[in-house]
This record gives sequence, structure tokens and C-alpha cells, in this order.
Amino acid sequence: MNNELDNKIAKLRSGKKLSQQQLADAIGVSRKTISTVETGRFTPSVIIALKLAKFFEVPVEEIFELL
Amino acid sequence: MLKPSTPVNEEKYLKKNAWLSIIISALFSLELFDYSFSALKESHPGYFIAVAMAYIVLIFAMANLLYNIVISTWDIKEAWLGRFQDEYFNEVNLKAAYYALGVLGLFLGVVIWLDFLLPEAITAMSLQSFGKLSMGVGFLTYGSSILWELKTSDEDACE
Repeated sequence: MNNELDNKIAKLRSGKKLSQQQLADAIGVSRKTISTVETGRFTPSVIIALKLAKFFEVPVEEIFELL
Repeated sequence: MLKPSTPVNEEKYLKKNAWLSIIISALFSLELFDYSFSALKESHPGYFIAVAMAYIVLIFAMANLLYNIVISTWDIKEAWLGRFQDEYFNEVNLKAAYYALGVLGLFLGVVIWLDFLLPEAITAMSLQSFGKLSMGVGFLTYGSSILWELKTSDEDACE
């Protein structure tokens, strides 16, 4: 199985009309964390994944999936 | 009371720490050659003034950065140990430390096994000067890696 990760954060974020900074403030991380996770440069911990899932009110698997 | 650690002040700390490393590296570079200042003043007065000015500017910048770090950092011990709340900044700091260690290891490896490739300026150095050169290489790699990582993550940003 491939270890590369795809995510739908940008899509979910634009659905809620939020900037990266607003999302970062909402879950207590830096804007750089959000931007690097969105582009796949940085793989977040389970804690951030769960915070994102809670914020968007969707299961984690709906945000992240293995390629 | 300790200031709270936030992603904003952690990023500021990382940037200041990166610049501090680069300045320390420049100071080590100025110290590389075992010249005597009084002899330099006599033989090359212009060069002596340039070196003295560089020292003054670098030491002033270093003191200013250190003061800024001490007054604005949430917890000096935690920051010094690289315990950032923000995961990405933690990764940037760790990566920079790995790069510095890697480059320093590579450099020392070249000195040990490929010494015939090195210029005479390095092979003829005293042990003390070689130590300064190695410290300079390590600090420069650490500081520039942090700035590079933060810059590339800025380019990733898309609102």
C-alpha cells in the first residue's frame, strides 16, 4: 500500500468560505501548518486530523485518504 | 508569569533563531584566520577597518536578537529545547537540526577521507580555526534551512 496521503482540506475550507488563517485560528495551529498539509508537504499528527474532522463535522477518512 | 506559546510567537522565535545562527556563523567566519589585529592594523589599515566594522555590526545584531529572543519568547527553556506547540514549526526546527548535522558530518567525512580535494587554505588551518570553520558550517546550515523551509511554506499558501 502506498504511504502517500491526499486530503480535501482546501475543498472543505472553500466550502465554508474560510481562509487558511481562519481555519488555523479555529483549530489552534499556524497558517503554515494548514498550507503545508493542504499541499501534502507536511503530514499532520492524528491530533490535528481529529481537530480538522471535528471542525468540519465529517469523519477523518473523508478528509484524508491514502493514494 | 510565562507568556503563552502561540503559532505566531513560535514562528517569530524560529526566524530570530535562524538569523542568530547565521550571524554566529558569520562571526566564526571572521575568526577563521589566525591574524593578529595589531599586525593587520599596521599592514592593511583598510582591511582592518572593514573587519572591525563587520565585527561591530555583527555583535550589535547578535545582541539585539538575543535581547529580542529573551524578552519575547514564551519560555526560553522550552524554546531552546525545540518544544514547539505547532507541529509544523517543530518539524522545521528538527529538519534544520538534521540538515546541520548531516552537512557537518559530510564536511568532516570529506576532511577525513577526501582531504586531497580540499584547498590548502583548509588543510593548513590550525585546529582552533578548523573548529571555528566547522561551527560556522553547522550554524549556517541550521539557520539557512529554517529560513528556506519557512519561505517555501509561504509559497505554498493559497487563500
